[in-house]
Amino acid sequence: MLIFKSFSIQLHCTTIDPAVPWYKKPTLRSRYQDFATFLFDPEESTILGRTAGSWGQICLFYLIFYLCLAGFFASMMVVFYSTLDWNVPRLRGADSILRQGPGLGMRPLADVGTTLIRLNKAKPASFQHHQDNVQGFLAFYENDLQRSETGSLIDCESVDGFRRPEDWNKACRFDVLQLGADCVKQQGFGLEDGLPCILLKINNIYDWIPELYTNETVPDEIRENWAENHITVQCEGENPADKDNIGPIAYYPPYGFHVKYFPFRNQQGYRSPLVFVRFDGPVTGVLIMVTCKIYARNIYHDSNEKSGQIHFEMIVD
Amino acid sequence: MASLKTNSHLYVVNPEDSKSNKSKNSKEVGMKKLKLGLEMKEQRMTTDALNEKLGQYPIMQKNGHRNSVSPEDGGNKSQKKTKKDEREELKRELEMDEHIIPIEELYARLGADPNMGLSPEVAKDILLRDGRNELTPPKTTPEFFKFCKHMLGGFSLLLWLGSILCFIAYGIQVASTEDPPGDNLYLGVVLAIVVIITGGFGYYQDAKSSRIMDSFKNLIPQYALVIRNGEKLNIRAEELVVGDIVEVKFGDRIPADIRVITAQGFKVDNSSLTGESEPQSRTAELTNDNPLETRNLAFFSTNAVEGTCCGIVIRTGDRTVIGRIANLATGLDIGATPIAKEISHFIHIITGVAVFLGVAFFIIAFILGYFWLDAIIFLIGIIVANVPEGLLVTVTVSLTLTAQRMARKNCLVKHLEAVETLGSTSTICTDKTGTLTQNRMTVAHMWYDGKIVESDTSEDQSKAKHNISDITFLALARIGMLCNRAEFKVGQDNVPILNRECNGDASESALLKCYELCIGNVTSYRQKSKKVVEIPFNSSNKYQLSIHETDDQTDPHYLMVMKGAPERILDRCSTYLKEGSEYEIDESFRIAFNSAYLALGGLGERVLGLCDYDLPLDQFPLGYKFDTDEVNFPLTGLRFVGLLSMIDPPRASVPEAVVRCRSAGIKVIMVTGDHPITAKAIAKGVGIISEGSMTVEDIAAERGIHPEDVDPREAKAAVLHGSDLRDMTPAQIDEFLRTHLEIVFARTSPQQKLLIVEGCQRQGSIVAVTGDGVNDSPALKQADIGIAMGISGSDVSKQVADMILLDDNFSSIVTGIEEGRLIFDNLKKSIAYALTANIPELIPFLALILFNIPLPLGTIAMLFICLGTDMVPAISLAYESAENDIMKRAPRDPIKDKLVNERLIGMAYGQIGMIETAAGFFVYFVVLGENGFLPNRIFGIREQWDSTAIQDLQDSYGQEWTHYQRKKLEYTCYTAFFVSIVITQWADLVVRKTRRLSLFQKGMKNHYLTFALFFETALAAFLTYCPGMEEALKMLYLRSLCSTFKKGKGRKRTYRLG
Repeated sequence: MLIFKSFSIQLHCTTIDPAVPWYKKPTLRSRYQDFATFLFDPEESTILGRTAGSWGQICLFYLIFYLCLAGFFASMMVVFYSTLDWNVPRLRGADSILRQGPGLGMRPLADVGTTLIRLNKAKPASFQHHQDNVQGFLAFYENDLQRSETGSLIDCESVDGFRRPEDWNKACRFDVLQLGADCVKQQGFGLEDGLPCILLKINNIYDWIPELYTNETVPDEIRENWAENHITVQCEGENPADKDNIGPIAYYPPYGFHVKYFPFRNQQGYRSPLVFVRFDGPVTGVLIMVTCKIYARNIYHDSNEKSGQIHFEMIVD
Repeated sequence: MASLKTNSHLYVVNPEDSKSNKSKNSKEVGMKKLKLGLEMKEQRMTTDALNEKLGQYPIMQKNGHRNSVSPEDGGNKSQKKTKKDEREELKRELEMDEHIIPIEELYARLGADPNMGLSPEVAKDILLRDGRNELTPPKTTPEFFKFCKHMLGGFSLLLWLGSILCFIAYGIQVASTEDPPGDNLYLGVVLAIVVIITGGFGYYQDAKSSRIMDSFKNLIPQYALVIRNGEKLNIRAEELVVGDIVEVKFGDRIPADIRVITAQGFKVDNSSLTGESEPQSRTAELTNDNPLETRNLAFFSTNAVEGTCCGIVIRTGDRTVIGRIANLATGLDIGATPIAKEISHFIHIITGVAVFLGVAFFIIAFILGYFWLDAIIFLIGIIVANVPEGLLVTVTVSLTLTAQRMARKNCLVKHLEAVETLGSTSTICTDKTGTLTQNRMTVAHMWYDGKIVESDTSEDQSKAKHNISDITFLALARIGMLCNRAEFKVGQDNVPILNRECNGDASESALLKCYELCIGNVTSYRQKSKKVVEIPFNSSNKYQLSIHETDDQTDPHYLMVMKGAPERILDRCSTYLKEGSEYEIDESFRIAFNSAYLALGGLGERVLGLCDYDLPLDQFPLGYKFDTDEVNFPLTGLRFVGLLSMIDPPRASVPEAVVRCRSAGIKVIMVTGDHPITAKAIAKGVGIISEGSMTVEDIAAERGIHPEDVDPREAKAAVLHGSDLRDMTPAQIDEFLRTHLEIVFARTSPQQKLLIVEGCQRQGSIVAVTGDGVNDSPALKQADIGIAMGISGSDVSKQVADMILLDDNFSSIVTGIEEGRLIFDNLKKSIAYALTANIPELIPFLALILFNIPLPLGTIAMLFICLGTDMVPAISLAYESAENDIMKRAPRDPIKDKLVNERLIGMAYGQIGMIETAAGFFVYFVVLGENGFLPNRIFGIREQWDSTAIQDLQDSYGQEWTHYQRKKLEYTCYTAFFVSIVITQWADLVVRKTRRLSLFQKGMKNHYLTFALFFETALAAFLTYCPGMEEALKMLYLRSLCSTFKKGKGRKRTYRLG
């Protein structure tokens, strides 16, 4: 004890006036009060640390600032728009990400989340949405509608191979009768019979023209379905089991897409050619994975990129 | 093994003496209690706990005071009880009677023998029992905790939170969708990696500086001369044990707490313990019951300056008085550093913004009809997007760079945050000796022949201007050389004279060095003039005298030389020497003497009077037996020669540094144990008391009134005596600190330093404190930044300090402050720069939610901005030079002037961030538009866009896109957006380069920044064009991007925005 006598004399005056709050640790309550004061301080009449006038000024500043920024942005967009052609995409051919590698589209595709087509022919409700989807799509192809667009669409019945380039600014009419008698609305596109018809179409790519196989170059795998001046379509089960289950397949029109409908040039009223694939007897009650491919010399197939092919699943109950 | 040793110890000790054994047993019990006490000390203590331990508590209770810095107010009872127990423990432990009991009893108690000493075996056993005689370094945090602190502190916590949120979001996605995008997983992993790497880096930096710290230790092992088994042994001081008989001579450090048995002119310098800078004599008699006051105790780690002594070790290691005080420092609770506060404030803002946006868009998402799981993922995504991933790295690296720069300028920073703390400093409490001064007594003036001659006190003493041929000067020199016991230590022939170490008293060393410089060969002169007899200085007669044979062979006689307190010397003189002739001392001489004495004393210098006397050969023939006890030679009627005055002169660079501090608005307070006059003189010399400033006493003297009649507010400067400080209440101290701008605390004890520091902190100042002694450690710890002295500082003070001055020089602190202020400015720039990119990273995500557009900027591209391209530029801003003289600004107000304030956030987020976003979106629309998706097609397209089922999505031109093609386009957008941010960040970097000046005034002289611009661009080009990036980073190089730029618009626009 003695040893610290001298210290105690020195230090005994260190008591700090409790009225001076410098050392107090903030309690929860004082923190809350601080925050409340920050939200609204009645003394300084500030909200969130600023007076109304200050808030007004700052809002005005940002209003003007953002208006100027938006105006500048808009004017730059106008400049950009002025460089665009409304009918021809700026990037075509090799410049475009599409890269002349068309994919395939299919209908029915009632749900954006899945490519599964499941139907139970005993329950019309199970495929009603598919049926509506296809029907809705085909409404655009009604012959009446196509005829009414005379001037923009021309009749290409007589054309056998490619059209002459000077005719390319007009599109050919696509006759839905080519799609055969089995896959018609009246039969619910085969869905009612459990023999579904799937509609396929080649993706439009500006200026894309297929390079055709000749009799000599045609690959053996499609020789059966191949005809001159056509892009052949062929569907098959993906796995050996699917191949067993898939049953016979019919195509309408039988040889696939005719070349006279190409190239797509964003012509007015352009109808992309269609093909119905009809599954004439799939095994019921199992999931069948189907891949359909189109064949031409400048179409490559990549299952990952879905280039030149499409994949879907089918369950027929 | 251990038990065996204990047994042998018992075997050795038991037969000796039952009494001593008993006392040993009781001591062992005491040891256990002590250990218990030490464990308790690990609990956090505040100042009041420290004060209590220093013994203040009981008195305070008596007075009814309640120490207010008390964390247990309202704390639970059990804690109080522990504290009380601990206090009891300490009280018991404090009782000390080793200096009171008769020495024989002490021998018996310690089992010691004054002649034979302990036997080596017993000593070994006691060593095992008590441990080594060294101070336990302040409780250092275990390495693992240090590492964790880096991993979890401040910013890292935010990133961890972000990372965890990402994992949660990923978990939700895994559970709810079959093929979840990996983005959240990657983001979570990357965030975790960033924290781990940065934390590791920060830890490594700190570990590096603590390695340098460790190198300070054990530089010179201390040895002690100890008697063991009757033999004198030189052993390491750490191996001393209680009961050892040690011999200490001048120049040694006292190896433990010892009780003096015998002493010859023994003096110790207790300054590190009590702050008393005058050496105090130590003898064997008990003069006071207070161990600190009594003369028969010498304390561990104080220095012996004169004489020799033989003593018995009574306490070792942590049980020594100094050890206990040193340990108290470990308990002081220190607050967060300013930068830590700033960063937590910053985190508050960022978290506030993030949570606000997150919740707002969570609600919006609900209104827009999103599924709740998606809304939660949006919420998490927005919060995470607000986390500035790269900032942690930037801040750490910037601080490290500055720390390295400061280390080159002799400021070794122990932990990174101290870098900035130094910059915020608004008050410096500095030591005098060694920090402001050269710590070297130097002869400053001489008075002879009726005039004051200035001696050179600069560090190199290049311009000494004595006239060596002056007879009086030579006589003065002769006395100075002969009546002087100081000697150079051997083996220093190559060392410059001023830097040589001496044995002996500081003023005698000063004389020795002075004459070695102006005349030279002092040692050989002394050998020629053999000393016959001497009377050493003592406090009663206040003079020192020696009688020598003359070196003059032609006139052999004895010469008596004497030096001492001037008035005493003059009293003994009847004549004086002037220009070669002797005159009788008359009234006019006395007046001249007095005015010179006052003038020199007023300069704060230590004045010595010198006189001599040629003993007549007839009365004192050669071989005369001089007797100093029964003085048989005259001590009066001597010849007065002159006065010498000495001072520890200020370092050359200090006045300029003080001026810089003052212009920087930093208050410099001198705290010294020295005499007020000396302190004031030095304070005036270095400018702490500026020219023209007057203290209360000065004003009183000028007006001829009593100091108490002067209004203290009129006085700008003040010198406060420690005893006055002792009597002041905290309120008075506050008042004092507020009233005076230029303050000197004189005669203060190291304990009072703590009071001063607390007082300054109450004023809201950020206080830097310098200190070297063990006893300074509480003040060092209490200060916002404790600065230890690298050369003269004790290990304990270095351990406690935040920073170490490698050259002990005050001006290094100022350099450090400048660096600290610069880094604060530069951190502001870095943060503003790094935060800006947050907005163009965040808004695409918000736009996706609001407008259902394809995502403009992917997560990985976002990470590459934060952690890739933005990183080097942000760090390069740390190399920015100061814009204007940052030392002309007032110190940062820690409350108002924040590192990150709403203004900075507004500028970064609201203005530049929005401009960058506009640029990014423009490029996004251009890329999509040129590929066929015009803006009107984009809005609301997202669900179809992201659907893997839809392989024929039509664009504005009727072209149909597969999912894969769309994603390629989307990645191209990411890249375009990314590049546009990089380009706008060029401009942002240049904008951030300056805060007040224009770029034209500042110039592009920061080559790191220029490099960063090129590096950032090269990295962006690499990421965009390197093959394989598409898969790895979802950044797609395509010619579409080139052709976008070929058209020149994307670039032109972003360029203009800059």
